[in-house]
Amino acid sequence: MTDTTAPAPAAKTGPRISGAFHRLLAFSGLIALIVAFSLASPNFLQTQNILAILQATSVNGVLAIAATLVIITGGIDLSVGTLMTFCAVVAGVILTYWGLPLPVGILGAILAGAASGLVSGTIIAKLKVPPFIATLGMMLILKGLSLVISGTKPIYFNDTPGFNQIALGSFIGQIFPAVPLPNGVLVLFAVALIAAFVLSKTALGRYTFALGSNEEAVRLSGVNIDRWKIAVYSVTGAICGVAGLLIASRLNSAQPALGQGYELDAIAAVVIGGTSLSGGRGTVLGTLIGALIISVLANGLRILSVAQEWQTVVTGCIIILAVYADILRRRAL
Amino acid sequence: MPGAETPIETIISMMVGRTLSNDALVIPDTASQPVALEVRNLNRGREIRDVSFAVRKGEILGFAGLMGAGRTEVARAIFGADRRESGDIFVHGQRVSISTPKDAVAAGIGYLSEDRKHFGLATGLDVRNNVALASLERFTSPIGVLDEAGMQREAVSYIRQLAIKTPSDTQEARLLSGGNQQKVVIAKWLLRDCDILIFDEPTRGIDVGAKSEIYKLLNALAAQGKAIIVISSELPEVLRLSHRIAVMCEGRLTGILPGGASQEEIMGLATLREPAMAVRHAS
Repeated sequence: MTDTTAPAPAAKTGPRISGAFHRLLAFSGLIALIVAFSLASPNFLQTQNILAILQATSVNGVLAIAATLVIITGGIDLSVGTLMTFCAVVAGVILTYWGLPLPVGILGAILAGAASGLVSGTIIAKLKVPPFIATLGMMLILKGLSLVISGTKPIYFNDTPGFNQIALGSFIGQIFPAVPLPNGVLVLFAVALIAAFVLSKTALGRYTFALGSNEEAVRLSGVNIDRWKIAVYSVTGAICGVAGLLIASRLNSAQPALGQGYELDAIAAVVIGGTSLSGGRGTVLGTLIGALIISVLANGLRILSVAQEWQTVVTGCIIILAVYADILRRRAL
Repeated sequence: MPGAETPIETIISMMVGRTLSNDALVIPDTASQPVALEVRNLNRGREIRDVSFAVRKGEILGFAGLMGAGRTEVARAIFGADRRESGDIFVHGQRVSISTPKDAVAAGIGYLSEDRKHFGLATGLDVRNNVALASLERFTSPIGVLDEAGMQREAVSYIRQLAIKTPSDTQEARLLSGGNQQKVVIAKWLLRDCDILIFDEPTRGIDVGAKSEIYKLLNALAAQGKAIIVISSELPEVLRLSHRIAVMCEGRLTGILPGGASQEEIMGLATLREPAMAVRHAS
């Protein structure tokens, strides 16, 4: 079509390399922590302890993956923690109060999460309420609803025998008794694999990145951005439902007062894992590593008998360091 | 060193290292062609006041006017990017209801914004995904999985057709030069099969060599039968491209001139203020 061509500017390279660099940084940070704690304490690298770390990561990991999706769109979801609790309470109502079978409880919890995400997404997309405020409101609404529905009392799952197996049982341990990997960790890995697939291979995933990269350009491409935004918040909600099942299974009860504060750990994991809070960039693998860093720190410092107060101080420092590393990386481009 | 009297063509050829063909404007006879887009009585507040015009298939309609004359506002209102108070839009003779960009794109209208970085490109995505951005549905399987190979095939094909300078289709769009970014946005609308294209300041922030390429591209698209609207604040650009020239002033369409009109005629219409307003201004 054209024969005269403009001289192309020297092609700049590097974004891919440095994108991998951040993940590498988080990953080497994780390795460094593991090495340091193993040297400091012989108890750290015991199978039992590693399984405990993984088990402790499962709930926060699943919540962090949920938060990753909305954060890539350039949004935020502050309601993931209390939504997790709300879904646990819904499972409690279905299974314990109504006495319905286990699969109905599982489905109910996940659907409750998706429905809540649908509401958040609709408030954000249609009413144009900023995500921070919309999900802050939802956080409080869900916290209150959990207390109302449960009558402010914990709901126990003693009448549903299989329920605690969701997180605590070990499907793998039955086949390979040497590796009693808890089911909760399998659920985390399954959620991570599905989320990674959705993000990289599906239209929903592509729009998730596109919205975070330049929402107005996507709208001006004739895309129904409201629909896709609502879809992302709904998927995030459904994943919170999975987290709700995990935590309820671990505690063998739905604790309606629990939940607030979990969103901060989840967002911390996302940020440490290299997902940009301004949207458009992020990976499930990075978030997984971020969640592991938080639990390895908590576990290692506990083994070294460091007071719990100091653990949160260290986590705070790591969040700031991780974001600073990201700023340095972008400045270097 | 050449002096102040050096012709602009010489300076350009010194800048880009070769002579640019300064094609004379050839106005094809499109009078027999069907009308592709017709706008009737478009209104919005003081920005757009009773604007009506039509563009035929294969025609390039230029939009000239001073800053703030309402040209971008008209384009965005047609495209559904901003709401309009009243006005009807007809595509290929059919009245279409456009209230969002999605409606406009479905009707075959593509809009290339004057501000690529904010409204045209998803700069964090690669070239392939930017080219496919308006057509992702076409590459999506019933269960939502993307046909990455198909997207790559189309992107590579447009990179070749439009001579987009990029190391590969997986290069991030923000790393391309302005002219090549503009071509990526053009490719996006071509892949979407739009037959009405609205170019808002298509050569803003683009070097002279790439400008001439964009001009050739616009001419080629018109020759293929696309109906094209070009909004430009550079009079030489409007004069070089337009088969007809619509001139706006303070939200009104003050006149439509034939291609090759003089700069004085355009400026006359571009400053033709409404008498009532002029009086009010004078008092």
